[in-house]
Amino acid sequence: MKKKALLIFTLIFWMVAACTFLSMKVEEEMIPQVTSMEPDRGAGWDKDPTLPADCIIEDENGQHVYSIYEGTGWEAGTRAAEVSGWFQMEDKIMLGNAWGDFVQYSSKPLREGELLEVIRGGDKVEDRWLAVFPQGLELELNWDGAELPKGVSVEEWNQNAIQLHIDDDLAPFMQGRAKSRVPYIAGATIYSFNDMYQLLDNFTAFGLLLGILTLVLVLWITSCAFSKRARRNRWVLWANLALGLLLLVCVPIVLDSVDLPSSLLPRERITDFGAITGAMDQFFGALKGFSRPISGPGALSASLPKSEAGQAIIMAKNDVLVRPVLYAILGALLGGVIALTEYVALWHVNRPRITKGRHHAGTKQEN
Amino acid sequence: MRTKTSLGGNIFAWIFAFISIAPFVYVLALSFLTPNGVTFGYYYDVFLSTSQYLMRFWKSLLICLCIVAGQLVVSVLAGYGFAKCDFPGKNILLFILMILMVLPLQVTLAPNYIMLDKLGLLDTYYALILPSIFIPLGTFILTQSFKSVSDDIIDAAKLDGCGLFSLLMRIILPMNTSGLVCVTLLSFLDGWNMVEQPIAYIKDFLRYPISVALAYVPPADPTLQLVCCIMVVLPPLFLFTYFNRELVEGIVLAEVK
Repeated sequence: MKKKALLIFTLIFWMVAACTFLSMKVEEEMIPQVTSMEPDRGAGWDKDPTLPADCIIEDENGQHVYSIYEGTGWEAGTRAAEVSGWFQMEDKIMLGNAWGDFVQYSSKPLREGELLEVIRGGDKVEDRWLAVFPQGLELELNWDGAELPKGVSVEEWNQNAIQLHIDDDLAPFMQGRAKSRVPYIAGATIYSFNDMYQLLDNFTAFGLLLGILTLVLVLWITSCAFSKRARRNRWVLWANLALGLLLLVCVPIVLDSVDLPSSLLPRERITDFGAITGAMDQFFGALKGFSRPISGPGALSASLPKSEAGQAIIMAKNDVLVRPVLYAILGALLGGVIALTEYVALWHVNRPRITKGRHHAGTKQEN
Repeated sequence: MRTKTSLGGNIFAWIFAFISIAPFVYVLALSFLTPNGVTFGYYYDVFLSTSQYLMRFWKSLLICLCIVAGQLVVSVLAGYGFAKCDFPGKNILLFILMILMVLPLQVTLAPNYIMLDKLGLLDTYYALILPSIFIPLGTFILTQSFKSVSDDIIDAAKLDGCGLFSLLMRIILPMNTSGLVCVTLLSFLDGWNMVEQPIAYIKDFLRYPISVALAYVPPADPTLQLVCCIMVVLPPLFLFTYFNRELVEGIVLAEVK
């Protein structure tokens, strides 16, 4: 009973400790980044406060306006509160009450009461945007002749998507801000190349985390097997415990290198992998749509887009996509090797020996 | 020889076991269930979406470990003194200790508050740890437990050159593991379940241990509270399953005595 309780709860507490590190990272990464603005309260006391129409945040449930407030207790921190009683008049939003600041742009759709990170200013970076239009809203504009804002140029386009080069985009990428800058793509889903690269950069860390998890599970299973003769195998069990603790220390170290782009994360739960893979499929599917028509059988370059940026990001994806699975398998294999080494070491220490020239009064029995 | 139990006794035991375990099974089942079916969403909310719950869990665990360690040191030394040393007023002191033991916790809250205030320890974790270390129940249990150790054994150890520390570590404590386990479990549970003391001594919500903070879990969805309950039950469950044998032995010994 003691051994079983110790083994089971060791794994449970290891998981809880790892979850603590993970939750700290998830909490940090899932916080949407927003820009804020104060409403224009007008000149007279009888004027309604107004906000620009940019402050409307759209999602599958419709249009929303959010104010920013400071929570207390379990809900401590800067949070979003949905505003009711507003209406749109041309390019302005008329508000009934207007206390404090309001969200203007956000890196992803918001939820009532959600923690926020308010960005003031932001660095200017070079970026590329890929605007993917939904089915039935195909482009009819001739982009080669379209008038675009300063610093924005078209790199590639077809009926379903367009790739734009931005000289001076503000970081972090926010879809609402992009749509506001280039109104032609307001109906599309817009992705940032920088954010996609940032997501791909994290695949190695995901792989390492999976590898650590599988290694710990293998070590735990090995410990369960060795615990049947716990007294004889105690050094192996202590070694496995030490390895487990070492791997637990590695979790925050690996997590420290994780930096996910807010615009590509799911709205509610980071474990909603379908949303992430869906975004990746749409992004890379649209990029492949820019490829040249297949000229002949066996043409390997047929699925690559014409632009170098598009080709580079597809190559980067192909490089890192298998890493999580690969590292998980490596973790399991490493665990297997450690278990085998321990088994061999134990066998070597406890193997029956015949000693020359010495007579034993009795035979020592192993337990 | 194995004792044969009657069918009626067996049925009664099963019913009693079911009644005891039913609330836990109910909480466990409801933590996965929503009107739409089975979900792990609430486990995600507690264990992954925010570190608030787990950080509080570890802080509470650390507080409890400090309480257990402190109370074991105080109880072992005081218990040995009461059980095996002769000094003037021993019986009166033991009597006072017993009176203090039966006093309700609420009676000591105000004096402790004043003392902690004067020491400048209010709104710190010391306000939870220090008063809990000196709860007299541990001393009383170990006094009774140490009395069962024969004086001859102690004299023999002293003759062999055993000092007080060696005597405690090598003779007394190994002979009283069930008493030690009992004190460990009771002091841990006291610390883990404390509610009145944090409310009285601590103002800052962020410093509340999990036992108090649970009451403030966003009440929009009670399932979230059930998942928190599952998390909170883990350390006591471990202690009870790990020290199961010693606990039963301790109870049996107490009955025999």
